[in-house]
Amino acid sequence: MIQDNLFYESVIILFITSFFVRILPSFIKINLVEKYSDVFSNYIPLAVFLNFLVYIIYTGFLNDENTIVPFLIMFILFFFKKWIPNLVIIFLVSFVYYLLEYGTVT
Amino acid sequence: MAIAICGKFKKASFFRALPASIAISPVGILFGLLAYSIDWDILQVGILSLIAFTGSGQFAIIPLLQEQNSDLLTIGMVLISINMRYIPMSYFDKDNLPNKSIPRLLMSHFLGDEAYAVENKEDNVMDRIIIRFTIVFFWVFSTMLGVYLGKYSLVFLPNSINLYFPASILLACLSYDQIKSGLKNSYDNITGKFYALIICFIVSLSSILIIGDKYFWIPSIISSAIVLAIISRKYNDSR
Repeated sequence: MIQDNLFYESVIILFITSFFVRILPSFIKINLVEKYSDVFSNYIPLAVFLNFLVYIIYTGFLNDENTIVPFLIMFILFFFKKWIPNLVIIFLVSFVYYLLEYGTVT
Repeated sequence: MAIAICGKFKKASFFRALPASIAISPVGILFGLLAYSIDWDILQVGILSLIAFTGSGQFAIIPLLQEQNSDLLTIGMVLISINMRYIPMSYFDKDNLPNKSIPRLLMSHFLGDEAYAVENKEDNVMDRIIIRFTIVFFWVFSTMLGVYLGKYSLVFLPNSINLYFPASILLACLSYDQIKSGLKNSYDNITGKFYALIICFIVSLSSILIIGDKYFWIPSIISSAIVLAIISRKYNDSR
């Protein structure tokens, strides 16, 4: 019964969260000055991805020092990205990470 | 002919979404295992993952609700703070969505980090529908699979295992692709690209350090966009 309440509360709160951060912004229109509207619509996506990358690396380093070497390998692989698919990069970098993290059993 | 072209596009969109869908599956399984540990069944987890599709929010809510002192309003505010990055993403993505209310509502609700990173400017509504629903399908399925694996004790994971890591690398790869293409489209020369990268990196890192990694998203994204626009104006005009 308690877990059922937890379930219903979770569904409601998470949907409300999604409503405020994803659904509502897609229905409202803010009248930005055209000049600034162009600036935001052209550069916001690029800014989002740059922030994603910094956030991933920052939180990775902060939570676990074993991410340093895998992240370095990832950046080296980015130079060869033309020839290496994302799935291969994910596999190689994750393999190195898990090897460093859990490779030695004492 | 038109059907063939449409079919080709759909197939291409599906295959573009597939790496992201596969990479988030271990995280989904982990959520399923976590949900099973508090006695949620497969159906409940499936419903939650679909109606309350928020990824990181789903992980955050269980410990938040289990804490005795947390009230629902506080939990709601914490979850909105964690997911604030979606506000600019969703607002500037709205022109790419269907005009009818219900499809628009569903499409915006299913906007995840991975879908946002996979989609391109050139994608039409159908491409976006396929990308988002493929990722959501894999997410829902993997969370339900997690419950199943937990129920039948088919998986034993060390408590400390970090299953988020492949999903982080996926997001980094997709972000790199988008940054590369964004810089190519926005800047005519290497100097502009270099300054854009370095200054945005400094802005973003400073924002995280000053404001914190939960609340930095909106100020940092807006500051970075302004910096990118200024650099573009300066270096593209001076060519």
